Amino acid sequence: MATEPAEISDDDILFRRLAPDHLHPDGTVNSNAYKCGGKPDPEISVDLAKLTVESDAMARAGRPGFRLGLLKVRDIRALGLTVRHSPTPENPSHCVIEGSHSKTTCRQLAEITAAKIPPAASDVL
Amino acid sequence: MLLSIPVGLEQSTTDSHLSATQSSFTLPAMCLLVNLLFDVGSGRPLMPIIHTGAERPSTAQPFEDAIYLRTDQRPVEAASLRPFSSLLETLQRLNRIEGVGLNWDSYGGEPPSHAAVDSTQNLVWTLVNKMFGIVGERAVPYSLAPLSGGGIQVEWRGDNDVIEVEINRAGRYGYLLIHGAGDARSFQEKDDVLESELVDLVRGVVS
Repeated sequence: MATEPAEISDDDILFRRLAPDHLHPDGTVNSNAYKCGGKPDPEISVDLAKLTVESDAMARAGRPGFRLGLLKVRDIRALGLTVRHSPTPENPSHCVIEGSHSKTTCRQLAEITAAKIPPAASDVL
Repeated sequence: MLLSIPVGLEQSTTDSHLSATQSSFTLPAMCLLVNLLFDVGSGRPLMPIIHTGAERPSTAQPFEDAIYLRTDQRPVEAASLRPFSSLLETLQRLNRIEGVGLNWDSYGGEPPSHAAVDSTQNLVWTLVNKMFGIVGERAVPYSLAPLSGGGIQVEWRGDNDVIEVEINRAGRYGYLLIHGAGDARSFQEKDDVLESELVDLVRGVVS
């Protein structure tokens, strides 16, 4: 059963799974991480950090080699985008970033995303 | 066995990064000569060619090992081979991402289509061919990655500007051009762009 939608503050952190091909050679995030079907993803799936743990967010990739992208809600809202909690039975922390309709926004989202390797990522997959 | 290099191939390059030894060869000619395994006309990789014990400097890196050659008994400078190394890495990367499987991104992403791969190959080869002699290694894309939906995304970077090129499943081009940096930067984006227009834009970025 899905949980009730949570309030999301500017200080909240979101997790976005990043495949190896979502990273530039220097380790920064490529804007392809925010595109779906070759277009800007208008509903970007992310996890609300305060309702999950890094290892669970990573485990949803189903295989190793992924990284975790961290975004601050404040930075996302500064781009004119909205964040909505959209819990599912399988993932109570699920949220969507809405309003990304341009390549520019995808690029800006990539620039505010910090990629990290969760310490336990290799252990949980 | 040392390779014997034919002369008089197409026009000369004026890239200052190249040694005098190489200066009379165009990029495709060089790629052919150093057995970079590309078709000279299209840039498409060919079957591997086995080297037969060419002499090489003891300091050569693995890539230089593979392509070491001499012209008029003078060795090619290792530093001047860097652009070829970058190009080789890019085309190898294109080969690799052509083989990414379904759901490569864990969000249901599809692997690049044959049309997207072909268009990317053509664009990269065209730009390297046109720009290598002028800007050297910067003619080679900074990054190349699959794009969900069966496409590919390629990025070139210059001193001040960046261009992201999207090649969709049908092999058609789009781009995001970023001028400048910081608060002063501006964005320009467009879909359904002709290759000739993209070539001009990328040339503006890397020049």
